Amino acid sequence: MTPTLSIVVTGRNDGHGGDFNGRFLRTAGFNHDRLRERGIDYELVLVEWGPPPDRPRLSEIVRHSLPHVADVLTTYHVDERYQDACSLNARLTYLEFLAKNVGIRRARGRAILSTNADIYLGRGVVDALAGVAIAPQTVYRATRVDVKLGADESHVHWDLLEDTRNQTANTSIQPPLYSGGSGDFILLERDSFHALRGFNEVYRLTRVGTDLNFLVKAYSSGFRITDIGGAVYHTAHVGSFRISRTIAPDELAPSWGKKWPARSVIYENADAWGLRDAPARRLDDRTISLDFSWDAVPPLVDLRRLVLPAARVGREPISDNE
Amino acid sequence: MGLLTSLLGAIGLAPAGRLRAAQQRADELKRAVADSRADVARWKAKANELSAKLSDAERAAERLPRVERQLQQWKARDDMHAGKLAEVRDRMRRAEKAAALSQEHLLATETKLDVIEAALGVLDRRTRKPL
Repeated sequence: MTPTLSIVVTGRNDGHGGDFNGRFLRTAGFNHDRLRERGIDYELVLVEWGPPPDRPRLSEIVRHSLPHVADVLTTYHVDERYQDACSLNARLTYLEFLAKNVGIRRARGRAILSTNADIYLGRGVVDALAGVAIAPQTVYRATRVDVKLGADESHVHWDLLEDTRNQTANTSIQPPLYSGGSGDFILLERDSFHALRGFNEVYRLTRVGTDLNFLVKAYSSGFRITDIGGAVYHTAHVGSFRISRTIAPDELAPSWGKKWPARSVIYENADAWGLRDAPARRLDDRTISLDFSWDAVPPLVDLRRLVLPAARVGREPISDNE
Repeated sequence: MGLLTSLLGAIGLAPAGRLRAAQQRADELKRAVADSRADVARWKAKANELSAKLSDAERAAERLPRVERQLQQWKARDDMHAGKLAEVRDRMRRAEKAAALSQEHLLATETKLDVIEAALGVLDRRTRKPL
């Protein structure tokens, strides 16, 4: 049966940011309960990008710790060789958006939410997911609110997240792009997401601005971008982009990649985006391994796929200041 | 009374009353003559003034065709300048657009160069690895 919603996240059991597994389990459990309370039928698509061979898979940890969530979990284990084969920046250790594309390509839901593994869905967002029909050719965005490190995450509930004393930053989103923390919430109807062919797979040098670049592409393609009308909550942690930018700006470029004109140059991914041609091997009902094949690796250079965005009649130009 | 008047008249005299009346009449006539002279002088001045104005108008009328020609020339020159201005504005708009497009293409080219440079780095590493 086709679920209403697919939530696509990527991660692996590598201790990213200190306690990645803990953050992921807490948000996965929280979001599952809130979605179920509203009767939202969904699948959780977890893309484990190059999981460390000597550690348990994240999906196994979810099954063990959150058996009720495991029922809706579909996992893709992506062979670690894809990282080196696809990366154009040896200092990047995680091609996050290529990993998300793997999940977006294979998600079954009528709508797909691309988000991060440490994001709590807010009350307004869950209400909207329960009540709003997801329109085609529309990108839904949500405001990202950062909640304090050290906030008690063992018993998270909406009142705690909505308490402004626990909030450290609020990334307001403005038209026309509604950018700002975009990687934390991009929701589209499935066919529309596929029409745009996911996130940029041509410029594989950075993790910075790839989410914004997707919004520019959607806008340039005539898609509507709108605020879904609620917030999502992000638990700040060591290694997150916001903290890295604040406390170690010199370290930002190596680990995230350098800034690039993400507002000015867009992309047209190949038909085989999202590692379409990676050999899939089913490990069990809900776990698929994507084995390595050079046939699935996009070319190192595909310059004709980097193009200028089109202006649209009657649409506000994209401002550099947004 | 009539006889006396006749007698006085015969010797060239007139009764005092008649003389006074005659003098009064003479004074009135003198005043009328003076007024008429003043009127004549005023009208004359006015006629002179009008005559001068007429001359001016005639001279202006003579100049009118030349002024009209000049006006036409200025208007034509003005139209030409307005046309040139519109053309310059149009050229500026096109130049601005071309500059913006060039900037966009420059960004796209730099982005592509980033990719090429990065790809060369990748190939370099892959080549060195087996050696």
